[in-house]
Amino acid sequence: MICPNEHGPDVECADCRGFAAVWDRLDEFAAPEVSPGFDARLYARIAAEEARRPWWYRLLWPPIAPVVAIAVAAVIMFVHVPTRGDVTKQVNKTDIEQVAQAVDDLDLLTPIDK
Amino acid sequence: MEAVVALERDAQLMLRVREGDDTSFALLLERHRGPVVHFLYRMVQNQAVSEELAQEVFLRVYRSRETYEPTAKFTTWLFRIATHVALNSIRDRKKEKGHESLSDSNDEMLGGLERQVADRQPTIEQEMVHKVKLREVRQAIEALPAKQRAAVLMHKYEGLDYAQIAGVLSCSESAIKSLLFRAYEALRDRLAHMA
Repeated sequence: MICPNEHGPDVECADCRGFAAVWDRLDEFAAPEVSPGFDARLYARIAAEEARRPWWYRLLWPPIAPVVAIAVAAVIMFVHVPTRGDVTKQVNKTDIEQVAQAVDDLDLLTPIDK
Repeated sequence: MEAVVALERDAQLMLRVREGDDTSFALLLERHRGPVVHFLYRMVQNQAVSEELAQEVFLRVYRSRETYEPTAKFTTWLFRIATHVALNSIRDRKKEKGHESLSDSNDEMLGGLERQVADRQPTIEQEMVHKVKLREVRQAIEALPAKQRAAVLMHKYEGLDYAQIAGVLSCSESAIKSLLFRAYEALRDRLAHMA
């Protein structure tokens, strides 16, 4: 029991007696039993809340979130970042087109010279 | 020592809930449903409201599972949520209705009392005396400022120690001792005539 007076545990002062009496009075304030349907109502609310979440929210769940983040990053890199081979192919294609265009231009110019 | 082990077990259960184990949540609910509902009942003095608030508390616990870190004792964390919910409810109800009437909750409480004492077959006079004493205790508790009320209820009925109550109410231990002393002093003065 709480007592503001500094004394040993075996000593009982007037405050101790007064607070002990209050302590006993408070015992009379009993709380009723919890309703039997409490858990069912709670789980229904949880289920309803889970159902309202968007599908992608599950991907943010901490145990799998890092894996999902890595997977998403990998997909983005695979789709958008060109490989070295792709760049070489693109350069070669451009070169060939330019050479072909130059040859065509020369062909066009040749009859005029003649 | 037993309490420490129990608290550690609660934190472990909550960490399992974070990993997606719903059985652990059911165990936590089983262990803390009663204390939380009883605490809230004594705070708001209405069974239906207290159960509604307790649902909100456990819903918040479930929502917080993903970010839960066992930085404080589980009970401290749980009662912090419960106290927050209770204080908000008391504030909102005061705004809505002015001072809350006890008539509904008294009827409910007295019904419960009649069921409780039915087996012992008290005389009508004993029953009346008990009802009057109970009403005075309830009114004395209700008259306490909300923070003092929460501290007394956690200390007296839920067995939380000063450190835990300090953690719940974000105060120092010495501030909680002082708060509790003032609260018990006020209760002693209000209930003195019952001695």
